[in-house]
This record gives sequence, structure tokens and C-alpha cells, in this order.
Amino acid sequence: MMKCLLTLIILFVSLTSSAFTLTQNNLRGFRDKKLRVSLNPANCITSIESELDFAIELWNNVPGSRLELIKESQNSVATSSYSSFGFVQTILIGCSTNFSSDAGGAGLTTIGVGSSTMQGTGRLVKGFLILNEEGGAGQYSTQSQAVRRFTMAHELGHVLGLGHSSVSEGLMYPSVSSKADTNLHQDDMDGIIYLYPLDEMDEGLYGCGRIESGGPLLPGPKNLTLLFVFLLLPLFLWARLKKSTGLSFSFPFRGAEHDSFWARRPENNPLAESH
Amino acid sequence: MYTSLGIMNENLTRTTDKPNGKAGFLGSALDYPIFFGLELPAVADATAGGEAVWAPRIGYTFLPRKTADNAAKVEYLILSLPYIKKLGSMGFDYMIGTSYFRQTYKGTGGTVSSSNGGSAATYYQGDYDQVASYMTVDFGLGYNFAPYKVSSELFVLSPLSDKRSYNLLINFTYFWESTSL
Repeated sequence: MMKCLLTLIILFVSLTSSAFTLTQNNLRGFRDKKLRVSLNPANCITSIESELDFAIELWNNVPGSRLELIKESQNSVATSSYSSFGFVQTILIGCSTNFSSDAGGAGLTTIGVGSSTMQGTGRLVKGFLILNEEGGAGQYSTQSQAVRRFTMAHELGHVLGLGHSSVSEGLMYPSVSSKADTNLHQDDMDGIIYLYPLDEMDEGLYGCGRIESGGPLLPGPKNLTLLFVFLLLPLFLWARLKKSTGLSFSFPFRGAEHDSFWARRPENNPLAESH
Repeated sequence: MYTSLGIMNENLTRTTDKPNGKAGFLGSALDYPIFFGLELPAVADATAGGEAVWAPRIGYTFLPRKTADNAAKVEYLILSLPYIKKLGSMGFDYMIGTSYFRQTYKGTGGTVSSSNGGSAATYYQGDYDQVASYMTVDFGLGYNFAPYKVSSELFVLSPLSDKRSYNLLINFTYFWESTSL
């Protein structure tokens, strides 16, 4: 039984932690609580809408972060002018058939580029994301859906201010290889909380005011079962350990040696009734 | 009065620590909060024949979580107000309550060079502190063997929003003295 308990503890302790970086020195993220995201669908594959929705939801749902990306109506701004456009607190997203030029000389093995502009205050004021539809190994539309999702979320992370991370399991790791699914690592969450910390005292307690129709109230049945097991398992192990070692069995509030609140109540204390 | 030593796993089912990017049940962040608390009899329950206490407590991670490369330290201050009630006669109890989390990131500064496309780029580690604060709804089960207790607690972060997440805390408690009227 002790071996089981030790295994559980070692399982916890062996989990690793991680590191995030910022794209610019002294960066403090975008100023506004709600940040607009606008897509120019020209030159893009039709699935880009769902991939953008996925990426927005991924970054929006970081617990402890105030970040709220809102998808706005589509725009028609040419990707060649993204670096000089004037919409503040807005992220423009588009696909370029002249990617190398529009993305500042990026090679055609690159799938996408995310960038943002910082003011002297350390606040970001605008950003853009350009995807490669010029061709080459990095052409966005020829990638698998898993890679497209990862790329969209990764580049959006750059636009929000996150740099590359050394954590190979994380979303902000500079390579997409072997990623079959796109989820955030704790390192990604730490980074976005660092840039966009939540203050619920200002923004509605318990997440109030951020209810959206899409999210489930509880995790799925599989996770609920796991949660149940993980709540009960330590208690079960401890009870078995106590039984095998012969430890005393009493509620701390009612232990006779503690003269507790519970023991003082007449129905819990036969001595009190005999007087 | 009681003191608890906890192991808290953050963001259950929400994060990945696998090369393929799939999310696991456990999160990849561990914290070790130490709590100091009091037991206060729940008067209404005492008169109604129940066995319950309010057990307000303050917790702090004296050993902060360090990110890799020591880029930042993450500390927690946790104020909790659990309501604990006896569950059957086997020494178990259950807990419901609410907590205030104050999560502090202490940036250490510096630069990092990383590959970016076909070349290398310089990125920056934060050199300032940031604080996130939020409320949680808490549920727990405990097993008592005086004067000790072991419990599992689940903190639900942002329960009313899509940011909803779960932290699991395994707590080992020692009671310095018992509740008395």
C-alpha cells in the first residue's frame, strides 16, 4: 500500500515545468480587454475560418488570463500593406500569394508569420498574421489540418506577444513536427497570463460576464470519471494504509483526546447523558 | 487551528505535456502551498444536529514554482473559506467553499536565442512582476484520523465562463487544537 502511495507522489513530482519568452523587451501585451481579429479570406482555403475559430478559442480559454479575442467582420486589406495599416487594437489575418515579400523576406519553407507593433509604453497597438499561399514546402493550404491549426494558433501567439519556447511539447515551440493535436502546455498558459493577467475583482467574479454558448458546463464523461477517481483514490489509499498499520480511527473534531466540539454534544458523548 | 501541506496540480485536462500535443488528465504544473487555518463551529448546524465547521485558512507557496531556464517564478496566495461537514461515521468529511487566488509571476529578465524559420532570433524573458487574481469554487473529500487529516480538493476556476479550469489539491493536515465552544 505504501508503494502505491509513493507511486502517486512520484507521479506528481516527476511532472516538469517550463519557460516562455516575449517577442520584445519590456512587452506588456495589448492594452484593451477585448481585441478584434479580422480575416481577409482572399487567397485562403475555405477551412481557414474554422482554424481561426479554433485558435481564438484556444487562447481565449486560458484560466487566469483576461485575454478576449473577438472575431470581427471580414476585411479586404491587402497583405502587402499589413505592416503599415492603421487599425489599432486589431489583428489582421490574411493569405499571401506573394508571401516572401509581404512577410519581410521569409522563405517558402515558412508556413506563416505573426508580428505586432509595440509602443514606447510596452503595450502592443496592432498586429498581423500572414499565411503562405505563394507555394513551396510551407504553403498553408497543402498542410494537414493538424498542422494548419497548430500554425494558426502558434502565429497568433506571436501576434499576442509570445516568443518561442524551449519546451518541445508546447504550442510556442518553433517546430510543428510530431504534433497530432494542438493544446496549450502550462508554459503557453504562463506566458499568456504574464502578458494578460486576469483581475476578477475588476471583471466579474467567478468568470461572470464571460458566458458563451459553446462551452460545456462540466468536462466530458471520461474526465468526470477521472476526476472522481482522483478525488477518492488518495482517500482510499490512506484508509487502507491506516488499516494496515493500525492507526487510530477517529474524526479529529470528535476525538476524546481533543475534547472536541463534537464530543461535547450530548448525543455524541454518553458521559454527558449519564449525569 | 490547523496546518496543511498541499500538492496542487493545475489545469486538469486542459494542458499537454506530450510530444504529440494531446492533452492529458493531469496538468504539467505543480505547486506546494502551505495553509494555516482555524476551525469555527457552524452554529446553525450544531443546533440542527449536524456536525460541521467553517475552516477559514490562508495558504502560500513558500517554495515557488520555477519555470524552465529559471525565466520566472510563480507564487500563489490562497485565501479559502471551506465549510466542512462530517460524512457518515467512518472518519470521512466533505467540503464546499470558495477561495481567492492571487497568482504572482516574478520575471527574472534576460534574453534567449531560438531558431526562427531558417535563422535564429532573440526573444526576451519578462523582467517585471505580474499578478492575476480570481475566485474559485471548491469541493473536497477528507479522511480524518486525529489529529491528522488527508483530503482531496478540487478548485474550479472561473466556473461561470469558458475559461473554466480545475486545480487538484492533495492536502495533509495536522490539527494543533480542536474546536471548542
